[in-house]
Amino acid sequence: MSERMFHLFTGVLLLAALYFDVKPAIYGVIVLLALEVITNQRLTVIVSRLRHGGLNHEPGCHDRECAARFNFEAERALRLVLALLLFVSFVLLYGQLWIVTWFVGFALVAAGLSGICPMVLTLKKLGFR
Amino acid sequence: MKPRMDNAIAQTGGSQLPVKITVLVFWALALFGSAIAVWAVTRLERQLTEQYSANTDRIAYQLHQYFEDNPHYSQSGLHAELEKLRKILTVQGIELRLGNKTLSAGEVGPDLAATRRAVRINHTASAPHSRVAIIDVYNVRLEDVIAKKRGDLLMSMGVVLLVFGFVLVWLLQKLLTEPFTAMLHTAQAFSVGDVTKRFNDNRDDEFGFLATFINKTLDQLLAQQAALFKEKERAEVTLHSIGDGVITTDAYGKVEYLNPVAVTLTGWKLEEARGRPVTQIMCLIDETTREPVENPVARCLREGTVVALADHAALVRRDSQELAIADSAAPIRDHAGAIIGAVMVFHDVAHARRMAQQLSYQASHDALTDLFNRVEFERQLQEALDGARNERRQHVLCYLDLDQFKIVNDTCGHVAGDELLRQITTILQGKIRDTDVLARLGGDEFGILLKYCDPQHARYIADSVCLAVKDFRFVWGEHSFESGVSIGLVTITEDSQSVSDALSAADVACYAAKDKGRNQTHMYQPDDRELQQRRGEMQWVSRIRRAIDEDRFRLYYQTIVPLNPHGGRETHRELLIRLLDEEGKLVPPMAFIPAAERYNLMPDIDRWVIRNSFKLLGPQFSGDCDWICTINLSGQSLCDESFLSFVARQVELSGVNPDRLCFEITETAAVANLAKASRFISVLKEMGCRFALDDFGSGLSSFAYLKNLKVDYLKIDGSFIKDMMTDPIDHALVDAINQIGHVIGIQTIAEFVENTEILEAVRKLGVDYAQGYGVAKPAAFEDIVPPLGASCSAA
Repeated sequence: MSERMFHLFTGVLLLAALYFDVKPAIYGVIVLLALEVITNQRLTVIVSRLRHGGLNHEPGCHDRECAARFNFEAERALRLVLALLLFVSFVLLYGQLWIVTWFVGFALVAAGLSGICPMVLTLKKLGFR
Repeated sequence: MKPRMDNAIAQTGGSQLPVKITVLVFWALALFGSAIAVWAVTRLERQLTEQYSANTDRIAYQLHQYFEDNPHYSQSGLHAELEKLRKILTVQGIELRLGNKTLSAGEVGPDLAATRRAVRINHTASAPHSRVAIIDVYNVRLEDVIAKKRGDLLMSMGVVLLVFGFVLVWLLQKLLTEPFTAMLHTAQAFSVGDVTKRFNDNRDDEFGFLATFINKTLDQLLAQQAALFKEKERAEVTLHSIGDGVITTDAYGKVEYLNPVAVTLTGWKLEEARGRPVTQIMCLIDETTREPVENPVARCLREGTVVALADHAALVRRDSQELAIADSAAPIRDHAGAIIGAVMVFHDVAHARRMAQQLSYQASHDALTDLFNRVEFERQLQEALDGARNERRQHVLCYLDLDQFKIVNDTCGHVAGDELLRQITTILQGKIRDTDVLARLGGDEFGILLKYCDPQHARYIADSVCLAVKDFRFVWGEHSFESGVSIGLVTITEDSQSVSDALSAADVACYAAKDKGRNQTHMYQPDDRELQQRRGEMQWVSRIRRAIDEDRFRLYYQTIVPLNPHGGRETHRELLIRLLDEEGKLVPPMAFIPAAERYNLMPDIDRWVIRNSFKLLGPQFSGDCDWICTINLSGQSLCDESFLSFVARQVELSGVNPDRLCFEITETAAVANLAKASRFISVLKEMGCRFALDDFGSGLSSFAYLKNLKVDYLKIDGSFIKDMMTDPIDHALVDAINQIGHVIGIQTIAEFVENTEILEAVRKLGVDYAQGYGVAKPAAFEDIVPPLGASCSAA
């Protein structure tokens, strides 16, 4: 499972949950993202390991990744940002920040479909690995 | 250049532009969509709120009307009215409380949003007091409606915008990214060496224009590159085939290139020399001083100008051999004029330098004796003069003239003369100091410059030279010759004027020494009367030359009469010469003849006399004439190889009858040049000319010479004649000479017959002719020259 698929899947799930007002699903997404951040075990990586027989991409890094300012993966940071945004906009201040929750959902879908996640790019520009 | 470009391509490579476009579209649409959504949801909320309020108001109004129109309403009718209103206004439910009665239609409850209004009911007959009815209109809660509407709106907008975004991205990729990526791939291919790659210029848009422009620029660049390569090839081939060594360096003097000649000359291979300092490859020294010479490349880079190598530079090759070279270095500049390197061109000049040294040596040395020649001697003399002035020191200049060289040369030939000069040179070298300068100045003339020498010591050296030369006997085959040298000395002091003056003074002093006899020296003194006279003679040289050139000689004659008129002897007329000076005055011969003799001008004067006298005499001077023209010839003319042929040719040209000509040669000249004189006399006598031996007795020569010289007349020296009346010895000598002449068959002529007493005395002695003021005085020759066609008779 690639990150692109993860983005698409998460985005669709989020939008569906918002549209059909399935709040547990949204909480579930927030919890999943938070777990991935906390455990540093991303679902995509786990699936890849399972599918490719334990192939681990962690030890190695590309040049640009090795030259990153922080030893913190951009995808992990993305999940942190998503979890925070969803928590704040949906759980705490949905009445005022409902647009942010929806925006996150559409952004994830667009990233999944285009294969380009502006947030990941921005995080990498900021120095995340 | 290329790697850097590859990096740039990799960094901005294929995925960057689509990413940027996608991100741009994404954010644009996201912001746009968000703004639209916020605006739409807010507006929807406001509309719903207003709608809820308006519905309640409308229901309240309708109910008020209902109560007005139906004062006796029934409960069922009221309920029907509520139902009707609920359906018309699509509300969830309506609840009416009137007093303690509550009437509701539709769904009511706490889960719905209630909007309350109060309606006043006027009094009627059945109800005399007015009442207030409370109406609660129930709608679906606003949050739920808005949430539902918002979800619909956002979902539809999201889908539409996503589709629109992807379409936009696709379009942008087609319009921008793909042609741009294609250009990028072309540029990548070109940058890795595929120079045939060209951008697609078939498009009609800006990419097509850019592609055309870039393709054209690439073509031009390639053409220029090809031209540059061609030029570079030509330059490299030229440098390879050039005969000179060429080295190029960078701006720091590090070697970049050596052509094959430079490799050969320096002994360094190109690969080994590249990157090394040029001073290591081109180690230069001064050939003469052995000191290192600054490399011209270093100076050229420092000063930015073309620098030529100093003279006498030699290259120390890698194998330590030295090679004479000449070279120059010039800076290489870029477009901005900054120095980016230097080029040094050099070539082997060992042969040329050897030749130059040889030429220089030959130009300053005499080939025969290996001594300095006159030019070099004069140069060193000039240095001595300068030194004498600056250092207040004195030197002595010696002018040497060999006494017997001419005899050796005439007797044994030039080879013997040359050998004599060489041997004399060895003697001279043995007598001077190491610091002195010895040179051969002319045929048998030498010069010695005794540096830092006082006159006394110089005279000592000169005397020792004289003695050594005197003691030397030159042997050539069977012949053995004594030798001698005359030396004139001049002191070189701070008062000395010039080289020419010093040499002139030394020459004069040498003549003075020669006049003293063989092996003599003479020190020049400024107030020396004899030398002043000699100098006067030297000034005559130029005056005589000018007189010859300007034809300013005049011919005179003096008659020589036969003393026995019955003897059938003819009158002679001796040609005399006068010089017409610059002011038109006649100068007697004794004023200039000594100078002419001394400075070898007599042959020129003799030629002038013969040419002009023969011209005057002309063909009418034939056998019919009763007088003989007597012409004096100098000893120098006798020695002149061409003089005899000159005389014969003049006789032929003028038509003068040679029978009427008599040439006088002095006894001393004839004896000194006996062989040549004999030949001269023999040849001209065969033509019919006669000869007289002049001044006979003055040299006290042997009478035996008269056997060898086939002369017709003896002219008894005037010194005996003029005193014969008072000096019996002279009288006896005149008598003796006359008698011997007659015995040999030679007629005699008495000179200096100044009066009748002497005339009678010589006549008594039987002398055949007399000449002198007592007989006839000199007169202009033109006066007695027979005109053309006239008879020729003695005046």
